[in-house]
Amino acid sequence: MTEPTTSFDDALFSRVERDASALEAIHRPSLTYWQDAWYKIKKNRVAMLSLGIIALCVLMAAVGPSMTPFDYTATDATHIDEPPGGTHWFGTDSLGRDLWARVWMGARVSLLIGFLAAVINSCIGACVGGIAGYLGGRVDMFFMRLIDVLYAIPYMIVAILAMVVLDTGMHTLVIALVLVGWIKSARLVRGQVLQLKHQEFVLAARKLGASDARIIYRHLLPNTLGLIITDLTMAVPYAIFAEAFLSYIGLGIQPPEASWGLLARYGAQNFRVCPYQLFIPAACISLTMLSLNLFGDGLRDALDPRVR
Amino acid sequence: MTRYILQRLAISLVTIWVLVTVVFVLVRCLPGDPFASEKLTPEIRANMERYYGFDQPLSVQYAKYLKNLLRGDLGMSLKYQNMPINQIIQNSFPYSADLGIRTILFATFTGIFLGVVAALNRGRPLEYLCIFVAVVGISLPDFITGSLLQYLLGQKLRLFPVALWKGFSYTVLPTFALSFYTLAMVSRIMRTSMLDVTGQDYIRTARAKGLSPFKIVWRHQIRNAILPVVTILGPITAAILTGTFVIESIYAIPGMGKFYVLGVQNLDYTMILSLTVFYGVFLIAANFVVDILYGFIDPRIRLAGNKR
Repeated sequence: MTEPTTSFDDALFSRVERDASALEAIHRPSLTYWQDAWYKIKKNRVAMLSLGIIALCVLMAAVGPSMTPFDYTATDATHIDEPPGGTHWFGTDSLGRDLWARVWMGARVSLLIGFLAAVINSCIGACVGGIAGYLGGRVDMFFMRLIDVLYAIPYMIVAILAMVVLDTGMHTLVIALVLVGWIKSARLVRGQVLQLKHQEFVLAARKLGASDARIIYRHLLPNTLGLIITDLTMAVPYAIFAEAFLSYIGLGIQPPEASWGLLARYGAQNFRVCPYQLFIPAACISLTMLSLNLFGDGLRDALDPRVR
Repeated sequence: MTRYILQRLAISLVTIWVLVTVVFVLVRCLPGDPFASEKLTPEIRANMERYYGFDQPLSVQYAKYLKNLLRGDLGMSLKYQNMPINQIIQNSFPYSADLGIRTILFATFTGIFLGVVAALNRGRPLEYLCIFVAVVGISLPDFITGSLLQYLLGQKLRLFPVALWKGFSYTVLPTFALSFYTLAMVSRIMRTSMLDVTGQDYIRTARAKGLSPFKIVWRHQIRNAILPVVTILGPITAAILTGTFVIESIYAIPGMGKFYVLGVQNLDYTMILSLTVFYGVFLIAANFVVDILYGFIDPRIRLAGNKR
């Protein structure tokens, strides 16, 4: 073992050049906004569990009815009000229809209406909000007064009237839910666009000669996408609830078709004798709405650029 | 302030007029015939149509309806013989209003309380409990809460009467069922806005002055955080009003919701028209009051009004 050297000469050292370009080098791959959001929401266990439940629901709506040999409209007078068991997994209703098939057929209708109405609402809302917010002036004034007037008319009353005037069915339900449902997202998007439209990238686009339509669709709306998507996740449970409400008071889906609201309605009429007829659709509605709400909460946190 | 009030009033009046006109036109577009279920000879039918004014052109009927409306006369029901709609409203509205007022009071106070408790216990189990209650609340449709409470507390445990409206113990279940959703909404909003306020400079100032924690929370935090709750009081009233349709039918409460749903099912033109107008005017008035109230509570709005 050599003696520790006490003196250092220059030969021991070499000069490290300070390389300006190396300083700027990015060591880790940069995350886009969406990758970052996905990374954050993956770590949110509640949101991922909710997403799993929603996925399971969609899957069951797709394959559930064909897992049982019974047709969802076929009545059977010999097996009335049978409790859940081996042959009828969710039991039967008061006409002997298999509830497993009916619940998952109902899931198809309820989920489809919920997603469809929410997507259409968000699209209309984004367009109206974007146009009104960006153009401002008279256009904005017109849309805002229209929204003021529509907003004051109770949502359910409009939906009920629409259901009465048009004939009942799935299309009508979607139309009824869309008639006033776009207002909320229009307001949200407009507020966001008002903030964005004075920023430099909009000015730059305008100086480069982009048309108003291009600025709205290529520059402003993509920047409100986080907001729109969050609003969409929150609008789906609302639409499912509205469908269930309308079907529950007898204005929505008509038997022998099925939807969760309709099943809950018949379950509620019969639940002193067979509580499971109410519990099963009620659990489906509540669990789906709960999952969508929790997932929406997680998504909002993940997409919020302030907590990046 | 006067200008602000007048502007709001003008919007409200226009909204009422639009509502009346739209509903009038829609109701006349309804497929079907209000006299279809009764077996009538052509002469009696013509007599009845003359009696109700249906033989006149639509514009004359519309003018007449508006004129009567201004005098506060909502017309006669087509189905309930010799029953003015004013009479029906007089008989049934007190029950709905009673239920509604109980619900609004219970929901807002409990909601605010839960929101405050959640915000003051940031990160502790108590906060998660409050958040859990809130998320469950917004995920359970009121018809499900209503039926489940009726089944569990009314039928199984026999703690409360199952139906009807005859005294305090009868009001507990319907009020709770109807307020659960609103309560959850209020507590969510209250929690977020309490957390927003906590970070503000004036709270730090108050703490630096040496105010007691109770005084800070009561005088500074809650008073400022409560503003967003006031803004949603209008939509809350609307939600509770539509909720009464279902809750009244579940608990057999003789309120107005039943007449509205029956009117829709029976194609009782004047009943649908008049009850919609009544609901609409009621809600528009509620929104108007909330707007004014908000102007008084929030000094920033008052300032903006004075400057003009």
